[in-house]
Formats: sequence, structure tokens, C-alpha cells
Amino acid sequence: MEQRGADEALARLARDGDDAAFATLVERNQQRVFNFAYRLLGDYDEAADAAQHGFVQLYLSLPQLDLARPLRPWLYRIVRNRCIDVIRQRRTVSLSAAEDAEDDNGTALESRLPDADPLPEELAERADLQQLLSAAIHRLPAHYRDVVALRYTSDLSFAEVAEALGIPENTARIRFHRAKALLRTALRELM
Amino acid sequence: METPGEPQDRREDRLELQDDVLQDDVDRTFSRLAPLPAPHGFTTGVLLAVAAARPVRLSVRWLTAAIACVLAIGLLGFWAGQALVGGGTLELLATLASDADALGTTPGEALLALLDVAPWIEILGIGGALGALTVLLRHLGDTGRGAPRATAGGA
Repeated sequence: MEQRGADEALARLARDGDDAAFATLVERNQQRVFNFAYRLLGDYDEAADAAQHGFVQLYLSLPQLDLARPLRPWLYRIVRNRCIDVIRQRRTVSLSAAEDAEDDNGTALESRLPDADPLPEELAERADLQQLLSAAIHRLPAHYRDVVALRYTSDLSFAEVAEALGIPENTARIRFHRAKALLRTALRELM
Repeated sequence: METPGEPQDRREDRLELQDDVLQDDVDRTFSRLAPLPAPHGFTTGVLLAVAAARPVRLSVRWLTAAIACVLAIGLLGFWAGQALVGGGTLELLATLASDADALGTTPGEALLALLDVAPWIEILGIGGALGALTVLLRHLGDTGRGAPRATAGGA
């Protein structure tokens, strides 16, 4: 069971030169951070690079960070920004119409009526559930995708999600609930 | 998950992906998904990247000691040089070199003469300062860009 403030305590030790404390901090958070990056990028290696970048930036920023505040929202923000850079770079070099149409799909999805009918139970039993959910998340508009990825991969509260994304808490809540309706629509279409 | 001292509304606010507190079908669907493990060697990769990225941190104290050793070597070298020339050591060495018979006939006296005029204190001082400088430079090299070590359980 995680303790509130443990990450911040480890960060303080790391800031004072305790490298083992920083290693522990990485180990405690690596899986969630990596999964968050993977939800955004959909690529294993790129997600690993983005997650690693986040932790490196964390270490280099330790002297300036306010460790009286929660650490994770800051970390996720750094990783998210890195993921955005990766996605932008993809689009710069991409000649694929499918990737360029990603934004169009997201807009089109958002314009539909929200889907309130529950998902079929058999969906959860599908062997390709990982791919289905990844595909559904990637069909979301970017601002919904970020909230969903954070809520389903990290243990951040809505307040912390909002802080990580730089938006008001109510906006984070609203986007998350709207995103779930869009996910239902996307999952039905993908099944 | 509960955390000690956390307000009730915060606990409820956290997304508990467990069947008994799930809110809807989308939450339940995502809860079936096992998170991917972090890549093998991830922590080690982070630590190596940190070591490569962070600026070199040299101990001021050790650096000051190294500079002091260099200055000492210079000063002692200057004094030794003056003693070698002005004290007659070089002249004695030149004489012994040119007259090998004298060295072979009375080696004890030659050695005593050399011990008498050579700047041994300065020479020993230079040797000691060189040894200390070697140790200091090795320490500075080891600590300046040392990589943080992973814990025993690290990936």
C-alpha cells in the first residue's frame, strides 16, 4: 500500500545526493508512467523513451522543485509533453493518410451523440482487449485522450490530473466523463 | 486505495479499478487490462541517462587540495633547481660522471659528498606532492561523473 508523501520524501533524499533513493523513486513509478506514455503513443519503444525522459528531467529538476507539493502531477506533465512532441514529430515526417486523419476521426467521434448503452460483457473477455482499448483511446480527440490515459494508468485524483494537464479540476472531470461515452462509441465500432 | 490521513472525498475521487467500487462498464473494461510491465532494465537506463546528463560535480575541497599540490610541486621544484645549481650538486655529478675511476675507487666518499649537497628534502617533497596529486586526481575522476547505483531490486 502506497503512502502519501513517500515519493516526495524519496525526492528530497535524492536531491541531497542519495542516488539509491532516486532509483527507488523510479522503480515505484516506472510501470505507471510507462503505461501512461504507452496509452498516448501506442508504441512500446517510444513510450519507454518518453518515460525515461520524464525521470531524467525529474532528476535534473530536483534542486528547483517544490517538494511540498505532490510530485506525480509534475512528472506526468513532463512525460505528456514529451509524448506530444513525439506525436508532432510523427506527423511532420508521416506521409500516411491514416495518421493525418487521426484528428479528423477524433473530431467526427466527438460530434456524435454520446453512447449511453453499456458495453457488452463479452468485450472484457476478448484476447485482443489491449489492442482494442488502445485503438479506441487513439480515436479520441487529444484533450480527451490525455485525461483517459492518466485516469486509467496512474492513481492520480482528478485534482492531480488537472494539475498535470494544466486545466481546472472540473474540466478534467467533465472531459473524463465525456471521453467514456466516446470510448463506448469507439469500442462498438471496433468490435 | 486508502492513504492514511487522506480526506474522505479524496479517497472516493481516486479511481479504484476494483469491481466493488467501479462506476460503469468502461471502468470495468479497463480494469480487466493488466498493465504492461516496464521495459527490462528501465531503471538502469534512467540512471545511466542521468549520469550522462547531469553536470560534473567536483568537490571544492578536493579540487583545492589538488591545486595546492600542483603549487607545491612547482615551488619545491624551483628550490630544488636552485639547490642543484647553486649548491654544487650538478657540478659534483658532472665530476663523478667524467671521472669513473674516482667513483669506483672511493664510492663511499662520492656518495657522502652527494648526500651532503643534493636537495633531498625538496626532492622528497616533490615525490610526496606528486603521489598526493595522483590520489586526488583519481578521486576527482571517480566522483565527478559517477553513475547512481540501482537498488538490489532494480530492473
